[in-house]
Amino acid sequence: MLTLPFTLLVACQPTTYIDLQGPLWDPDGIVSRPDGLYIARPHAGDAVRLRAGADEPDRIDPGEDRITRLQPGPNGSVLAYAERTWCDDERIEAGDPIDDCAWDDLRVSGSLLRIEDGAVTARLQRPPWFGDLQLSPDGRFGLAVPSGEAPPQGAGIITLNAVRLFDLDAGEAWDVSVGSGAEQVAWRPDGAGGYSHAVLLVDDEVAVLDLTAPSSQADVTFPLALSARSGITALDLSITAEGGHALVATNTSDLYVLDLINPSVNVLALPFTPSRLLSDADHDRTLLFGGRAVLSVDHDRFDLVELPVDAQVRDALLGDAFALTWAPGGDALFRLSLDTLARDAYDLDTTVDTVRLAPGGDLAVAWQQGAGTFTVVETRDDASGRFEEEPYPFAVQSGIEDLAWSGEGESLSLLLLLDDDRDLYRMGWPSLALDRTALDAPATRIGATEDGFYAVHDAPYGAVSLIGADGEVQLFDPIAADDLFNRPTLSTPED
Amino acid sequence: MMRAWPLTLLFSIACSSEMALGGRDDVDGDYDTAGSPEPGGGDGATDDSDEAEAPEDDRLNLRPAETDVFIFVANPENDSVTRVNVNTLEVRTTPVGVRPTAVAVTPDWATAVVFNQGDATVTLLDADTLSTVVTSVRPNLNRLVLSPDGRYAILWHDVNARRADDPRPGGAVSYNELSLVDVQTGDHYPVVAGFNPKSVRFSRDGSLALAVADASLATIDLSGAAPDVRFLPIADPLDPPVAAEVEIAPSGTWAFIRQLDTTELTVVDLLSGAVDAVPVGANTTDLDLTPDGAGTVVVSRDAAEVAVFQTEDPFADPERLSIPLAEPLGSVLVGPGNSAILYTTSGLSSRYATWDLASGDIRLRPLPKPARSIARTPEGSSLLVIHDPDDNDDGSTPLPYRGKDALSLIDLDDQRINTLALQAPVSGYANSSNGRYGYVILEGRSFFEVLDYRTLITEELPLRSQAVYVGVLPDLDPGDGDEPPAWVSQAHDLGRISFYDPDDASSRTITGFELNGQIED
Repeated sequence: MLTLPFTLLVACQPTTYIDLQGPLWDPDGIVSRPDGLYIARPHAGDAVRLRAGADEPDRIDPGEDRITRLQPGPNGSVLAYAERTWCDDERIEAGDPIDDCAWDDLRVSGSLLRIEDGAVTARLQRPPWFGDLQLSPDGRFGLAVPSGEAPPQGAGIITLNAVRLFDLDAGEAWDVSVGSGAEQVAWRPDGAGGYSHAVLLVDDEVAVLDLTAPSSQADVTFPLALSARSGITALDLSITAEGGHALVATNTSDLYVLDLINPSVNVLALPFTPSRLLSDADHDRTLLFGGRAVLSVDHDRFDLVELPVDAQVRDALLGDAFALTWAPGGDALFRLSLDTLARDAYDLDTTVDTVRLAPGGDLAVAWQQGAGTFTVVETRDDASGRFEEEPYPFAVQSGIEDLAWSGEGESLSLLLLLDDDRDLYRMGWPSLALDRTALDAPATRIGATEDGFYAVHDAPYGAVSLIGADGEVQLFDPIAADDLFNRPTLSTPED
Repeated sequence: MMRAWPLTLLFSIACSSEMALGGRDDVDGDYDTAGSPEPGGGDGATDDSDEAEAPEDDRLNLRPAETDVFIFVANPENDSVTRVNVNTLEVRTTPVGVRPTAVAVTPDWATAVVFNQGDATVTLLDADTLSTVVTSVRPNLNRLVLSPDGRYAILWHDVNARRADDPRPGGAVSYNELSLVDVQTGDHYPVVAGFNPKSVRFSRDGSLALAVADASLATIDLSGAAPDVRFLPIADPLDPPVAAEVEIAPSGTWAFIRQLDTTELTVVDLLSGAVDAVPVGANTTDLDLTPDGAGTVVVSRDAAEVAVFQTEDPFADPERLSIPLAEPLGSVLVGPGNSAILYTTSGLSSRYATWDLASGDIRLRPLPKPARSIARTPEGSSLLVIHDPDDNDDGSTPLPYRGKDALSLIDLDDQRINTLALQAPVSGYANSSNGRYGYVILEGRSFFEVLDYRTLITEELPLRSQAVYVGVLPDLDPGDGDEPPAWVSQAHDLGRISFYDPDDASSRTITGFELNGQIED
């Protein structure tokens, strides 16, 4: 790609202003799919797909819609949030510049596009005031709550007390009135591998929405307080594996156990206010983190077992038969065996904010962004049942920008981006063999692709490097320099 | 680990469950044999077995009702009743009328009767299916009692049970009315009795109810298709003595009325309606029937005398026994096995007496402190004595108990006694029907005491919030070796109740059942 001539051309022209309709590209919303890397271009109103070996990005044509951002979809697809603008003035036609329409005649509708293999394959209506979809684990259903952001001009009457449910397989969507303050959703299994209900946190209530029979009202609404002025807010929830109960953590030290079959509420008093809830489906229990103990609540009798640890742990992740928990900003990292509930502490010399499991789950890396150290820990017992508590600390010459695992088994490696460093470092495990891949510019983030990984550069017109498994680098730069001076146009009106 | 208690054949308890709309102590078992604890005590207290305690200010202090497997809790704040399955801890809440303030269960455990004081209705709730039938009753009522057979619920206004937050009456208020509700049909029968009925009692088979007022006795025949009321004057209406209590002969032939400041026991022939009297000692303080109903016992404290009348021949000369040393004992607890306990809650004595009904032998026994209340275990072998902070006048109160609330466990067979100093007054207790365990809660405290009457040893168990009421489920199969669970309701905005299994000393708590009334389904 040639950038220099483009720059000279601009320098010889009179000053031209670009009326940006949005960011040129969305580096924070890159979606990696098996068929490529998808990047939204909000100003252009479309998206591109980067593929290793391709000369140029593939443009995704959204038709009359304008894409604003992307999200991973089910079954390898990409979901695109889009809007369409038209003018409520008969004198103004589709295709005319948006600027030709009076401000108060503008009308905006939202949509959800499904992109597969580089093309839009489905479109569902989605009012523009809704946020991103929370997808069910099988990708069939999605739920969107009002984003709280100011809607675009012309969006019309906004309903803030309803959520929108999507059946992506059937191509249907419907609104359900639940009240304001809807946030997190969990999905209730139907016992046949699918999901029957969405269980939604709505401020100081929990709403259960039927996925099988679309309705504008919730099936059941559980109150978490007797008074609307209680100040109680639901923060996190998990559903038991068989779908019979929901466990809801709030901003208090009470855990609410909701019976979803015979609607009723039981409140368990906790020794602290939990910050994280994780459901251990294999052992039929929920783990709560947030204090100087891990709380285990079984899903049969909901008895509480308190497992003390030596630090106030507030974050956690689940592996296969174990959990890791740590205190962000501290140097304590614990491993909890889900079989025996034994706790082991790793003796770290570094502070930790983030912990990431390696593919396969045998290792984890703990680090803090900007720090010059990171630690690798083993998470599993060895063949003789012995657990290795000794961590593997590493130091680097500058702050760490990003860390990620790549590959697995014998090809497992750890990728590092360092501050102001154009090189991407790869360290093989357990060989510790170190490779350096030179990038064309410093990168701010790394991620995995189907057959390698990618690095995102801090570039105003968009720049991403694809790195193959063999270390070959392919730079796409610029990604979002097309149609800079095009003025956005009106679309065909929608009902 | 909680044991599963299997559902066996229902065991019918012939008891009259009486609900005052205020806090009260309770003793598991048949009132007629175990007796009721007397809430007296303090300056000027008498040994009147006044069944109504001072009204509670806290609306949450509503005693749950129990069946063999369910606990029913009224939720006046959200117009609902919650049913908790003690075995599974399943919670179901069903809407009832406005501001339910009392719930009682029929002896067959099939129906929960809920009094909704806010809209003057009664909800008849099927204990199993939770289906409801609603009946309107007369306004301005505040007490509910069920007949022993569970056929009728009777409600009336008791001036001693009034609460500051009772619904405001309308333009016209009556203090003479009773509402009778046929629990089977839901039919309502309003009747007029005497002014300010003090008590409602039933014959043992539930065919007859008596509502006693100072100047009158209303007899209500419940054996027919509809209640039949007869009104009998029993005293000079211009200056009647205060009626204290009434007892009915098991045959339903005679009624006995104890009145204050008289030396007579009023006897009413329920067949003819004739009203007469028999002489008794000065200041009658208690009236009770023997377990077999053959004897009617009257205690006259000032006369230091106990008189035993033949229930079916009340005008025959009674057996009169003097209390040794003229000890001012004014209350009687007649238990099984032809034995009784004499005691006082007036603070005038630091003793109690055991009384062999067969031989007439009365023996005084010491107490470490005066008694506020005494309960006897249903099988009669043990006493639970609750003491006020007052000490014995003769200085005999042992030092560790001086000035403190206390309770004593007494084995009546060998007179072993274990006295415990308490940090707060006892606010409730319950005994299991087999007499093995008792349970005590203290005012404003977050624990309850488990009393082992066999060993006289107590265990203290913590609760998550202050205990409000305590009870014990009935023992369906006394021969199976399993102890029935106890329950403790606690103060919590969302409702909290704990269940304790004495077999393995395990407990489980459910919280939040008041929320269930607001679930939108």
